[in-house]
Amino acid sequence: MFVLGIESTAHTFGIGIVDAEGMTLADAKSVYSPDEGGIHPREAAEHHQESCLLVLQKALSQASISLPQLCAVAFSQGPGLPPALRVGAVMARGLAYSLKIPLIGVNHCLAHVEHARYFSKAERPLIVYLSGGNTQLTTLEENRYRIFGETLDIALGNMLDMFGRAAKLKHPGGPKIEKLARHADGTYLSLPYTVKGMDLAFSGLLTAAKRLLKEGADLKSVCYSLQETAFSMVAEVVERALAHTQRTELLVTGGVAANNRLREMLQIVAQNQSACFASVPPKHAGDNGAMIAYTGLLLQRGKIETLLSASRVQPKWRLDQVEIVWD
Amino acid sequence: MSVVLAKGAEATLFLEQWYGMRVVRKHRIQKRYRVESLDKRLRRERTIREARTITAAKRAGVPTPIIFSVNVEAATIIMEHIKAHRLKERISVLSSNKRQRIFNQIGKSVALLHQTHICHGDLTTSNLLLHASGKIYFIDFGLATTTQSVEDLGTDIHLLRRALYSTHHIFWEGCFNAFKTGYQNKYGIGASRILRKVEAIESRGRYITERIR
Repeated sequence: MFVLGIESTAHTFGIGIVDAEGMTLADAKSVYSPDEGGIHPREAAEHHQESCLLVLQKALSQASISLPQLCAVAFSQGPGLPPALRVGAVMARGLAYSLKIPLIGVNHCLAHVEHARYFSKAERPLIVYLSGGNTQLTTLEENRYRIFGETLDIALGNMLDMFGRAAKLKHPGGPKIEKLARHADGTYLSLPYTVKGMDLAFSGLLTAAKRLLKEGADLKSVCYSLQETAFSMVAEVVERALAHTQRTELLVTGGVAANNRLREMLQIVAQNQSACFASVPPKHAGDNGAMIAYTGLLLQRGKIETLLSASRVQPKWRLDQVEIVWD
Repeated sequence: MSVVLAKGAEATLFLEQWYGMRVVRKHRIQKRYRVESLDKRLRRERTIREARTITAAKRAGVPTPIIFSVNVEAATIIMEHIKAHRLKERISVLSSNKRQRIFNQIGKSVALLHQTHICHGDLTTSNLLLHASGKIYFIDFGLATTTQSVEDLGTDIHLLRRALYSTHHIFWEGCFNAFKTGYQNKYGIGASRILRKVEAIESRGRYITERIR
């Protein structure tokens, strides 16, 4: 009994396989990396088409199983870039139809959240989901993930990537900014700080940081100040949300959760509010197929599957639209 | 004598005696996760902002605590002690009629704030106090701004709507509708423009299917 999961919302084409307990047996991926600029949706889709069969073979050999041993195929149905999403959906439909096993459409955000919960063993955490496309504070309450705070404009990871591009760093910019910031001399350049209750906005910060670059400020210091400002904003809203929801566990997930400075800050916040802190293992922080497979397993246990006729991709599928049938 | 009354995300509230009065001292504590200069800037700014706007709100007719003393460098404010519960803790035990009346009142108060160009910046049921008299006190003006822009005022209401939706999802809709009625009645002309903006802001969020053109 194995569930296969296909991830193809943005730059990563990934296939993961989990066993009936949810343990990851395979986590294969190929990541599209543009020569310049950000993700071009069509080029990402072309990359996924070219690499999908290789990734599948790799996943099967990692798990050392064969296709007929699968009991369900899960795929990220949204949110994401439509052309990229379609590649995963087509492959999933084909596999499910030919193997005569259930097809399960998975919400990508839900997969990040649930996979992080699986690793942390947290029971009722406040979840902070930070990635290239999403910035959300959420808790599970009565069959839904309720969103307490989110970005009002662009996502945190997106902001970092866009700044990286302006600084001529290769995509994705986040990890490179982190490295440059670590080697800065600690000069903090004042930048706009935008917090609205439990919501955030990053576009003003991005513009100001780009302006500093143009004016010839030291790149390392700008990276440092950008990170400090953006992460302080996140830390503040997280602290407010912890105080408001009175949750005693804090769990961080998504690609930006791999950033050490951010984790350090959120750890202090958790301490301040006497909450336990957990973060998704950095290896599983970014987009991957294993999280889709794992969430597919949860849905299958809840007897939820997706009919072929309802398997169209949903590029704008919000986390709080998904009904949750488990605790 | 100083007793910790509450510990919020930003500040600690102490219950103290001050010239023979029972007062609350609100201390914005240093945050270890922030760079010192940024931390100092934020605590300073917000202390000043809170003291100023609470007083302006009171003048506009919105129930708020009286400010007695402000120490900007220490980031502390000494204010009147309001004996009341946070609305968040009481909301679910209220009758639906009472809830509607309260949210109608909140709508009127927010309209008064907005007419005076005050945007609260953090309208949640944690920042509203329900007094035994039925009056709703507004607190926590640290994120408040003085603004006339429809966008800012709309964001203020959007935040309240979301706080209600996520925290009190069973009866949020009735509350929010009562709020809108109160807001519209008090604000009068121009209210619908702001409420339309709330929907526009909502639709701008990530992955909202129906965009407003």
